[in-house]
Amino acid sequence: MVNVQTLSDTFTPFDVKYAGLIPEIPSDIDPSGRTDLLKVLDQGKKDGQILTPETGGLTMDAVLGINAYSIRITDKQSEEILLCAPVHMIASVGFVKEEGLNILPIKIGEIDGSKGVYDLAVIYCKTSDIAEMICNILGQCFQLVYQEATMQCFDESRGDRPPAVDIFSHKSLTVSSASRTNDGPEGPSFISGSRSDLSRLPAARRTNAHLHSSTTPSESDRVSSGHPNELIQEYLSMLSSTLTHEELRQFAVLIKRWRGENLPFPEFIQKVLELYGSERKHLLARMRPFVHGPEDIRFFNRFLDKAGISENAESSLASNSPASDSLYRRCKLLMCRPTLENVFTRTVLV
Amino acid sequence: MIMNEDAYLGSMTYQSLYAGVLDKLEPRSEAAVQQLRIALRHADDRSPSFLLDLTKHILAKSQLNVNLQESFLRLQATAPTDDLQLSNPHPAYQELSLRAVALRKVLSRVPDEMGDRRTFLETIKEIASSIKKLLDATNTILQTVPSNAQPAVEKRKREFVHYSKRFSNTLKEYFKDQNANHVAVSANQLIFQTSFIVKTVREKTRNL
Repeated sequence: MVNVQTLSDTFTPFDVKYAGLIPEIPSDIDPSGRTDLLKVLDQGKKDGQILTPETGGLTMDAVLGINAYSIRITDKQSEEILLCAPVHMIASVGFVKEEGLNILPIKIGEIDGSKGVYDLAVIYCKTSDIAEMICNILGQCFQLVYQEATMQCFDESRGDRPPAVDIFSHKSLTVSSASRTNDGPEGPSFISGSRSDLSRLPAARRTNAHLHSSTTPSESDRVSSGHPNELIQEYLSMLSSTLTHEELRQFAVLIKRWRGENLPFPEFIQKVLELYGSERKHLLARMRPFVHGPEDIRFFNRFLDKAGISENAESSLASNSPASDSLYRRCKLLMCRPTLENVFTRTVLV
Repeated sequence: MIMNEDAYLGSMTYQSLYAGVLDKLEPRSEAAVQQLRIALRHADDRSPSFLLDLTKHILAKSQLNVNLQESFLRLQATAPTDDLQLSNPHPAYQELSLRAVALRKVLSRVPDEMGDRRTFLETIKEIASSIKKLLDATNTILQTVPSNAQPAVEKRKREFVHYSKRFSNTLKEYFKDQNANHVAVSANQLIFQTSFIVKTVREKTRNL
């Protein structure tokens, strides 16, 4: 067990080999189901989505950092962030020993309407002790996240409204001193190491499909999927994975000013766009749950059109890069409702 | 608002420790038990916390190592519920009564369940739901009681909210420092506030 304060304040590092990310695995895959899991891994290898030592392919030395609120995998040499995901998006983690390999699959979840869609990050550990330690610590993290969510639910029962931006109180993106060098002026590039790869980011493509793209105020008033509060929480969770700590702070200030009627909506949206920058402007499209009132909605729709922002992010993406080529640089932002009900069954040792 | 231990435990001593035991003894000798019951209640009414002091005295003499706060909380599970009943048959009053009983019962499970984090978190969710239902019932009552009773009931409601917030803070501290006794104290205070709401409604609507 790691001290809770340490877990909250820093990233606990482990040397691992990162094999890559298998996208869109069947939602019923259970890390304790050895056969199913190995089938997924085999398919992933065949499709070139993950690389294994025995293929002689690219498995580099990486560092898995675990924080109470997020995990990240960084290239040990370049310190480039290869993967980053909030803990509440992790559906499960498992450990499979196979032919001398200690395989740690991390199922990262995304719920699209009524069905779950998951990706599987595949990590190899040097020893089984390390794999078990990672599982135990992640179990601890799941507990912490669930605990906080439970207490938030408790506080809401009294009629206490959760702070609009309470997600920012989580130091989910606190970069430990070991990896701080990865932060450039625009913050950690969670997406990939190079600017050109950002266009390949399938930024929450599935949840974007939920958002109504109609421009008529009456239709845009409706939320086509999910409770508005849930959508807002999902958006804030996504931001916490995308923006730097300073950017999150600036976003919080803008929201407060706008909600406090100190900042007109048009100006607010403009400033948010400036904060996100052109590479992240697609994030603006997902702010629809924040927007209310026919006038603001009309402005919002016109603003998106003028800024060339499509609500269907997938349509603006370039085709995926060949896995063999840049798989190790691929990083994906996933949106997922916390599956807190089964959080304690997540950590499984096989 | 700081509640003295004697104040909240004292007011719950008869109901939590003695009422149930007296009910069990009654079949053996109804008259004697009834006499004892009257005497104990009379003494407690005249000298608040009398029964609590008596209990502490007995415990000291017994040299048993008993955590009073935890024991009180556990015993709330089997305490008779007549103190939380309201005679007014109006659904709003009965609902308040029902919610008060339910909250006391779920809070009484805390000592047994706090050892297992997973179970405890589920219990906390139940407590949250129970608190919400009690507050909803109190809000309904506020619309039902006469206007001269509303300020007193409103005040009880505010105090209840204050102590439920304190309970929440205690839980968060417990997750860090594992101090179970603070949780028991806070839970007992919340139970006291729950019964105080019912008692106030009863007293303010006595002649209706």
